[in-house]
Amino acid sequence: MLVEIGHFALVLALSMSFVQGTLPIIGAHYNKQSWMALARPTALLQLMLILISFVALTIAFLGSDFSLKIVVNNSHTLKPLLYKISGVWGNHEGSMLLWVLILAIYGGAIATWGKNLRPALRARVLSIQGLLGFGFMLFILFTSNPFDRISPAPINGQDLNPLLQDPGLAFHPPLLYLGYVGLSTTFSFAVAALIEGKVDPVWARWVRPWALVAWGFLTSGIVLGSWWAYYELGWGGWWFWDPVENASFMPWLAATALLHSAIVLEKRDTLKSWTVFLAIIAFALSILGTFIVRSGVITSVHAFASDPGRGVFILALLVITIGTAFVLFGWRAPLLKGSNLFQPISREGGLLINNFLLTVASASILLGTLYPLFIDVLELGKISVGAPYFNAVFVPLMTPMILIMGLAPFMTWKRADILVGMSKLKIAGILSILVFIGVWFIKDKATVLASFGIGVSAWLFLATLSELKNRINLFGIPFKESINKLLRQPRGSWGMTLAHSGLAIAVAGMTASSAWKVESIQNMNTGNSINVAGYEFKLEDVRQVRGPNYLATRGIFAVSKHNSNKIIMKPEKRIYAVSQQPTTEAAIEPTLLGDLYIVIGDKNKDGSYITRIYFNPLVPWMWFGAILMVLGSIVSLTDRRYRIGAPSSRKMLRQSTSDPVESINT
Amino acid sequence: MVLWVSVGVLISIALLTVIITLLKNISEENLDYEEVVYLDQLGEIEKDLMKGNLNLSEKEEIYSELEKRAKSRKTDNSKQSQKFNNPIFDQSVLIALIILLPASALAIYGFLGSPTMADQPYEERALAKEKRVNQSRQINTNGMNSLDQLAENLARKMMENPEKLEGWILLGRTYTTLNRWSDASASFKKAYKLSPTHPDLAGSLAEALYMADNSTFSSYTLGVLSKALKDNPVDPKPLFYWGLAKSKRGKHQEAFDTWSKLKLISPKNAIWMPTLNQKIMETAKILGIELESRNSLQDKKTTKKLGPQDNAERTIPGPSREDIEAANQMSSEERMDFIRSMVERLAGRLEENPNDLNGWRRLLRAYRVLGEKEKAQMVLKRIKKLENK
Amino acid sequence: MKPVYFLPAIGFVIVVIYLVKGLELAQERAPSFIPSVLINTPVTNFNLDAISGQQRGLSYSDLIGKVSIVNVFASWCEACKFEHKMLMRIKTNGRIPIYGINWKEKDRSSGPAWLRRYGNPYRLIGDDPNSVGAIAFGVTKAPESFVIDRKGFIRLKRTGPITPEYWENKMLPTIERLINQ
Repeated sequence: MLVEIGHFALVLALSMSFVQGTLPIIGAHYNKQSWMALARPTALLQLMLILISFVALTIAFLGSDFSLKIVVNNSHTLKPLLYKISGVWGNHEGSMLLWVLILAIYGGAIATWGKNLRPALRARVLSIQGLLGFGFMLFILFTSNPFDRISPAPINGQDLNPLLQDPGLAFHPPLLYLGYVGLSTTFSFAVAALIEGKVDPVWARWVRPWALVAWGFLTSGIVLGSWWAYYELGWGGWWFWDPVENASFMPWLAATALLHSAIVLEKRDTLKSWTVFLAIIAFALSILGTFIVRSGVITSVHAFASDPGRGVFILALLVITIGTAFVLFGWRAPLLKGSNLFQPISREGGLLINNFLLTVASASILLGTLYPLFIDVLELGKISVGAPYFNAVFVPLMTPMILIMGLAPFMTWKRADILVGMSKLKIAGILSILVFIGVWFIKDKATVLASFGIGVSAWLFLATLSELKNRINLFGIPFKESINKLLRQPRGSWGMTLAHSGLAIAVAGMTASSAWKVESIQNMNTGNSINVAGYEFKLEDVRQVRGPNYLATRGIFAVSKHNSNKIIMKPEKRIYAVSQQPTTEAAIEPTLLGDLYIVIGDKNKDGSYITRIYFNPLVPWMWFGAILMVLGSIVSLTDRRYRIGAPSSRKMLRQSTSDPVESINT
Repeated sequence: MVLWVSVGVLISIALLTVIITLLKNISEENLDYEEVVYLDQLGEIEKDLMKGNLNLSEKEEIYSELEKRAKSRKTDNSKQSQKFNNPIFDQSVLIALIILLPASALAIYGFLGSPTMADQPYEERALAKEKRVNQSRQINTNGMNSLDQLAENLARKMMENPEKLEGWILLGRTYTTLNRWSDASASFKKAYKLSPTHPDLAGSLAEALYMADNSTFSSYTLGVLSKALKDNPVDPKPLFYWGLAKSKRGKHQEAFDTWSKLKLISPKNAIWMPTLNQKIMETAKILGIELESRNSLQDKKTTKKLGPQDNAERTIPGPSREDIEAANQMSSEERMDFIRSMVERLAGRLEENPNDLNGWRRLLRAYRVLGEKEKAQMVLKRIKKLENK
Repeated sequence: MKPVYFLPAIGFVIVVIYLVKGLELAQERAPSFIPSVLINTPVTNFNLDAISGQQRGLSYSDLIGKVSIVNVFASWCEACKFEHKMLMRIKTNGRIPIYGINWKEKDRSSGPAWLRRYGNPYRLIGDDPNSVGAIAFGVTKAPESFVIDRKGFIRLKRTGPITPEYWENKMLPTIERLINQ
């Protein structure tokens, strides 16, 4: 009965979402207290109902209930427990249910922690969340119902796509959705603000944590996906500019911009319509991503089984939600006037330029992703846009952005003297130029561009550290006092320091792994050894092993450098029992300077095996940098203060030895 | 049941939440939420000042900034609209919600859901399957198993619909499978009364009756059998039981003849052959009749389950080694007699089944070996006739 | 009312128009499966059975160690007949092996029959009824050809038949460059 209870709970949630989406927002318009008060209980009820529904589906997967179509298509009794659970969202229907569950979680979170919100704003925000839920639940129930039954039930299921049977990918979608759907909160806040015709620092104060949460989850989701591609696809690459990857990257760029412009709005009461615009566009790109992945309009290697029929519905949702929001924006945004002006050279200016660069980058990725579609629709042929385009556009945009990122924290609000900022970054600047030149000379095969990339990342890292040093006035005052100051730094500032230095480290990793990857493909017999990037790889043995639901050919490699200690690495090639689909499981050994990466292929007629061996420089740096960025968002989130940015008068700028009080990324 | 109770609970929770919230008289809160934020910000500034993260001139700047913001904000004084503050309107909205919320949910669920379908987790299904298998293995267990249940359901249906011949036969067969012989005989009897000439029915009835009466034949049973054989003298089951009845009364010759007849008309791999062969052999022993070579006995490999379930006579000994050795030790004269009797029997069988070409050829060879030229000539003619056909 | 604030809405409308059109196209050719460009990436591992009447199928290891052409063909594909003459010419030229992927035949015998009728330009042929090989190469429609280098990287992709012009101007130069590398 549990399955049917879950099904009914979802239907009831649909009805509830309609109540949530209408009465409170109407009540807010006519200032009707009791209707506005409905927003919170209905949001919580919504969460409860969808949770029941989701739990019911999960239990059906755990118990391999093959009277459910979705379980038949995506599960098998032989599947390990973890993948029975991840099977719930490893398919279209279940992932859409996860989508609305997370939407309801955010709604419930706003209802729970939004007690200090103005009742009218809260009612409007929750109503908009309710309407979003209503649209998506209609979509789920009538086009992709996970509770469709089969009678009589088949004996066993068809198993989950083996590529998706991986711990990395098991948690990739939930994280990514927590990010995507998290942007629905800022969207709801933006639309509510447009309806009210009122955007102010208080509003920004309420929006910022939600943007931060969404950004943190989106970052971890993207990184996890990239990590999965890196070791599961066996190509040694971690980013392919695939439409599906772009679909998650575009909202990330927009969310990053939103995060920073919300800071400006909170502290300086300006950039109002820009912030609202970013909030809308970030969520629009999230839904667009969902559309791209599921409709089959732009197909991709890791797309869900696409179905144009579903595409129509998602497109309709996209048009209704985002279209309405944009029209509202066109109509109401002129009412939003900032109270503060600022000079181009100021912290606001720096942030605005970077915001602009992020938005342009996002737009150019959108263009690249949709370009094949445009060409196709205009009947100019069929083309695909690949990495060369994206690299050519993205890198020149990101380089100035990173340079400004290092500088902006040294500028004051409202107006700044660029020379003062520069003078404080003298050492960082000189050091990073030295790094650039040093890499160029020392590293063989170093291109100017790659060396420059490393130099840029060094600049960001050093500038971020200098900013911290300046803030605590290290060497300016006694050391002990500096330490005290360090400990008293607001957590928001720590967040910025962590996130910016994380990005610096990640950029170094990306540059190095793209530019100096060493790869070697060969046939190897047991006993053979080969030298790659200074390491000796010896194939000691090849064994057949049996996993819980697959058979694998496992190579045993002994890897050593200059006869130092041997490391044993075991790449596998698996054949999954049910689907007979082969997958490669690369063996990866991270070292400080790079990953050793082995893939074993098919057996040749002469008994040898094809092996692919890579040395991927600085790849671990990428993961480490990403972890720092996520950590930064968490630390920053714990900072619950209300802040305001202090502009500096010209006089002060010249005289004061102390530095701008507030950091930007808090 | 559980489903509808849960549905009821979910709907009540939803309705109660909505109704209570709507009926609660919320006093217009005069709290100015934004003022709270501004006050908070002022507090933070003081704290920062104490910590030394701010200096005085910066503080002044921030204060003036805050002041500017607080002054510039619009005061939102929109009054509650009269139209929407009318109690009758409120009540009608509430009533509409109470009706429409459950109604819409139930209607959509009714359209999409399968409320009658139970959960079918794999484990439970596997267990249920195993249970069924076990039950069919230990068919004598008295517990209520699924087949029993099936029989009960069918029996109940037959009570309402006693004219259905097929139903009674199916019920009888079901009871037979369950070894519930008296129930089986009652069902078959009902069917027999509806259609006494229905194929295979008389035999099944007789079998059930025989088993129900503790392996004895009542006069009613014998009546059924003799009538069945009158209608169809080669009906295997009645033939077998007719023979068994004769044998029980000590009329071994009649039993032997009946069974031999049955053997002749039976296909070689018929499921009753092993039992039948054994019966024939036993009877032959009693009568002192020599049997044909063991080849004509049923090959043991093809033996399957016994047809009639006479527990005492379940095992089927093949022709014993002694028999074969005895045949080997016969004198040549005896052996010739043995062979002749075999040939005669073949000839007799061919008379009953004159279209068996291979049988005739075998007979021809046999006569030639025995030197009976006249008989061989006659057989040859028949073979030619058959071939020309 | 300031028109500039309606720019996002206008841009959005344009994107949506394309998406609607794209959806129509996708509906027309569903189920299509077009991976992103795989050019300059190694061919993923695959192993295809032989078509009936042939001893060996085609697998990833066959492509390693020499420059080769992989051609996707099918008996149901009209353009493949057109392309076939060109393939035979390349075969007689003999400089480079052509490997075939016989894609999505409804009937297993129609591929071999087609080859008997028109001639077999392929060194080895893999039977690909389930699009395993097609996915490995990112095939969108037949015919499609790929130039594979010694290491098993896809270096050139031709969607549609290889015309003599294309062969002379693009494919042959690429192959010669790869051979001389």
